[in-house]
Amino acid sequence: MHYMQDTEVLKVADAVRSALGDLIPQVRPPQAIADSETLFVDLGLNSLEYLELWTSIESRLGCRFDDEDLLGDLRTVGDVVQRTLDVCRAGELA
Amino acid sequence: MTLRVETWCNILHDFPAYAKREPVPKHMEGNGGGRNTDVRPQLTLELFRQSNQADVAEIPIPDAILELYAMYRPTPLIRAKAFEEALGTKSRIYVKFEGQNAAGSHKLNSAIAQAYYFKKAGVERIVTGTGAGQWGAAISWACGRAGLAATVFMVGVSYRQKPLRPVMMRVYGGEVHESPSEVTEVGRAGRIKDPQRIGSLSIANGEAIEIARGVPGARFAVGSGENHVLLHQTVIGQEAVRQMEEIGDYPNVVTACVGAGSNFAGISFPFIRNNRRHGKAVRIIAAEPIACPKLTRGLYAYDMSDASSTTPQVRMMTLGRDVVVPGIHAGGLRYHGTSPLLSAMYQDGLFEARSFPQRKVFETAVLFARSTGMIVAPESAHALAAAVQAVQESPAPICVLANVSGHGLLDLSSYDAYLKDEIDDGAPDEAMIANSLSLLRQRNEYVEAAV
Repeated sequence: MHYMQDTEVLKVADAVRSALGDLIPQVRPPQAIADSETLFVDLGLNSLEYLELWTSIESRLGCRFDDEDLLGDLRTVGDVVQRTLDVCRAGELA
Repeated sequence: MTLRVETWCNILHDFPAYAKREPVPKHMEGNGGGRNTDVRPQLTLELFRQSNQADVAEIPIPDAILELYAMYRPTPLIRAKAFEEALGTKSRIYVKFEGQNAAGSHKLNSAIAQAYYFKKAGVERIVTGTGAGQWGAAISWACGRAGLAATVFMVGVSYRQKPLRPVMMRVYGGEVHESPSEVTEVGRAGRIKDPQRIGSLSIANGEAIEIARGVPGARFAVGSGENHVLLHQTVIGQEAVRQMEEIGDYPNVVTACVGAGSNFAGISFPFIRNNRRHGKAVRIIAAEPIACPKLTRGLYAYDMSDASSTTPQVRMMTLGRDVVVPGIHAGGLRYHGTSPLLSAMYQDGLFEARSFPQRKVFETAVLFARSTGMIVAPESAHALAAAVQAVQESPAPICVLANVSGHGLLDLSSYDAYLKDEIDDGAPDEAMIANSLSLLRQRNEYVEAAV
């Protein structure tokens, strides 16, 4: 079970990394979002890119975010990874 | 046949190339809209999705929105026979009338939808700019219904020309400021540059953005120009296509006025779709005032929608955000730019544009009122002027559909001024336009020539 969770986290982290890399490659070069330091980095996106990030993750993972899913403070890479995990898991349960 | 329309017409599905946003040239970056982690997205995810998705042709309208639409939709589509007779034409002139709702114009179609999506996204307050006040009235009512607060910055000249509209907004629960105002940095700077406080939608939007960025729970909303707004308005054209089919007629020409383009897109997109899919050949004509000729004399260039240079650079038909258009009575048509989507479509020849002097517009509106009894908004009267021109230019009788986007019952002082011969043609300030276009060219270096 622990292994399954790790796989899921890595899959989501990879999708977030790729999405961020596509949006602003000059700011966020492709790299593993795995260490805690990277997770706490501010997104560094403008408001348009912020929305593009979520739709980009949707297309990579086949999940769908609602506006309700984006409520709360979502400032760091780690916030995005965690919220994506929450939505993916809720989708699987539904 | 049922006239209840349950989907919006997504024109991006027909022209997916328009869904691909052109990257802003490097030399334009940094001129506003830069990266900033404090910039909260002003759009909701769903509205953003609606602005960009090309994969579906019809977007279902949520039930909660349909329920409110049912209070006034379908709107009437009527043949203006008496107007035809007054003009002495054998052509058939139909009008789609969007003025029979609480707010008095088509703006309610998007106000209801935006209030619904913003509420879902946890937003508490909508902050916006409005020209003639149609959007301000609509969003004030829609926000009240949705349990949202509304703050509206209304362009100064219209605020004074149409003093009952801000009252209407306040009755609906909105907070209204005359723009340029004293409550924002943008407004205070605007007052120095524009001591007569004529104002512009660019300044009003700049004020709204400043508040939206500074107040927790607040978001900036627009009543025109953006793709999602245009999408919401297509309920007009969706209905009109069905109504025309039910009547057993079909237009040769469709006309609508253009400010930033929402009512124009609303009536025209389903007809443009039919042109493409079903081999129809309807001429689509955008009507604008000679005072603000962004389509007929503007540049297709990168520009911003607000005076505070906060919004992203977008490529559009524009006179430049530095222009302050004369205070004509069709205040809703004074915006310096046009929707980027419509601008691209205009570049590709999917519709035409004509400009009309203010007196000609009122002459048409008065003739229409005397023959049909309908007093239309000065903005909407441009659509009628374009319809009349199309009829008069045609060597044979044709069928014309004009979108009357709103009533003019709160614009009677404008009609009064016309009847007293106190208004002019609204000739543009040539020096100001030249200066603004020059600044625009400098910012764009490579800009293509005006159409």
